[in-house]
Amino acid sequence: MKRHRGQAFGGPYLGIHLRRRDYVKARPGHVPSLEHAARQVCHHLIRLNLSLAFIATDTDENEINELRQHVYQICNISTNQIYTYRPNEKILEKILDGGKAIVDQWICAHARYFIGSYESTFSFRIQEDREIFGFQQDLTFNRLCGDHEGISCEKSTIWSIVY
Amino acid sequence: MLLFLLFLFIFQSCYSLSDRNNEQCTKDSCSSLTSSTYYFLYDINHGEGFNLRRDVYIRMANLVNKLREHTSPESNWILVLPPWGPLYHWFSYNLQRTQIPWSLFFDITSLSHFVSVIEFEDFLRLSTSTSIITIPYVYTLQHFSEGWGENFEEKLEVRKCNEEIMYEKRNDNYYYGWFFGYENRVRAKQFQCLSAQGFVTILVDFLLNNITWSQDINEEHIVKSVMFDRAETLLHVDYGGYNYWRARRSMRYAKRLINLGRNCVFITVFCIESVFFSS
Repeated sequence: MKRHRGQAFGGPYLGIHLRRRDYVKARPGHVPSLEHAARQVCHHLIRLNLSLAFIATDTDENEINELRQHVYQICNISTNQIYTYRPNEKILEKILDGGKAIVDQWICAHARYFIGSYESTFSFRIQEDREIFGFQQDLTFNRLCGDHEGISCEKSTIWSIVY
Repeated sequence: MLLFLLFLFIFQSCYSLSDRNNEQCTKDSCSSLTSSTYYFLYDINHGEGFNLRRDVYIRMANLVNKLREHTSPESNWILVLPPWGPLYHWFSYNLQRTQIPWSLFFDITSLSHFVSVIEFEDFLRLSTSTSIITIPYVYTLQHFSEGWGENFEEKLEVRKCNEEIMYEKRNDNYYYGWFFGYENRVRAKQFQCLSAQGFVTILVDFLLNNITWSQDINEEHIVKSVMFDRAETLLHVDYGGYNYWRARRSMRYAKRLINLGRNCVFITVFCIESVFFSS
C-alpha cells in the first residue's frame, strides 16, 4: 500500500536511538557523551513541545539513569518521562534479543520525531520504516551529534522511498 | 456461459491429468530432483549484526527475484531463510541463540509477497531422508585477492580460497560445515571458493550457465539447491530503487512484536491511538 508523504504524524513522543558500547570508541567524534545526548533530548523536546522521550539503546540501565539525571538537570524534565522498552523475563524468553530490538525499532518508527545514531544500521532500518509510513523526511533523517558537533550537526543521509 | 463451462471442463481435465501424473511416481521418483523447483540458500560473515543481515536479505531477495525473471516460468526459485544466530549483540546468553526461525521476527507471508521464501527447517524436510540433506553446490564468496584494480568491473571466478576453508571434505567425499548449527544434518556435494566483485545479479548468469542437476539421485538425498556463503561480499543491485523498496516493504515484523510495541506505547503514552495512523 502506498502512503503519501505527510500522512504519518506519529505518537507524541521523541524517538531516539542511542548507540553506545563499541560505538563510543568506533565512532569517536560522532557519538555524544551522555551529557551531550541529554542536551539534545532537551533541545528537541522543548522545540517540538513534547514531554516524552523513548530511547532505544544497547547500553545498560546505569547509563540510562545517568542520562535521565542529566536531562532533569538541564531542562527539568522528570526521569519518568524518559522511557525504554524492557520486556520482562517471560516475554524476553519468547521474543529473544532480536525481538526486543524490533520492538525498540517499531516504537522509534512510530515516534513524532526520530533521532538516530551516526552510521548505524539499526537507525537505518527505523528510517526506512518511517519512509514506508509516509513521515515528512525532516522528522526522520536526524542523528545525535558528537560532543564537538553542537546540537545541529550534519543530518543523516536521506534515503527516499521509491514506488 | 457455455464457453465458460467448456473452459472449466478443459481446465479440470488438465488438472486431473497432472494429478494422475503425480500419482504415477513413486516416493523416490517424486523427489525434488524431478521437479523444477530450486532452492537458493545463503549465509553471512558470522561477525555481522542483525541489521546488516536484514540489508543482505534485501540483496538476496532481489537476486532471487532476478533469477525468477530470467528463467522459464516453470523453474521456480525459492529463497531459503538462513536461521538467525548466534549474534554478537545478543547478550542474553541464557536464551536460545541459534537456529532461530525468521517467523519469530518477521511476517513470512508478507516476505513472500516479494519472492517465495521458506524457513530452513522446511527446507530440511524436503530431503528423502530425515537425517541428512545434500546441497549439490556450496560456494564461499570472497574478494579477489589482488584487490579491486584501477577500474570497477564486475567479475566472477572460481579461485583458490583466500582464507581458511570453512567446509571440510570428509572420507565420504562430501563437504561438511557449520550450516547454521545443523552440521550433522546438512552436507554439500561440491564446494568451491568464488571470487566475486560486483552486484548480486552477477550470480544470475553464473547459475544459469554453470549449474547442472544430475539425475542419479536418491541415495544421496539431494535437493536441487545452491548455497552462497559470505553473501555480503556482493553489492545491492538498484540500491535504494524500486525493487529495493519492494523487498524492504515486504519485511514486516511479526504480529506479536508489533502488538508488544503497540501496548508499550499505548500504556505509556496514554492511549493516543487516534493520533497515530489511519491504518
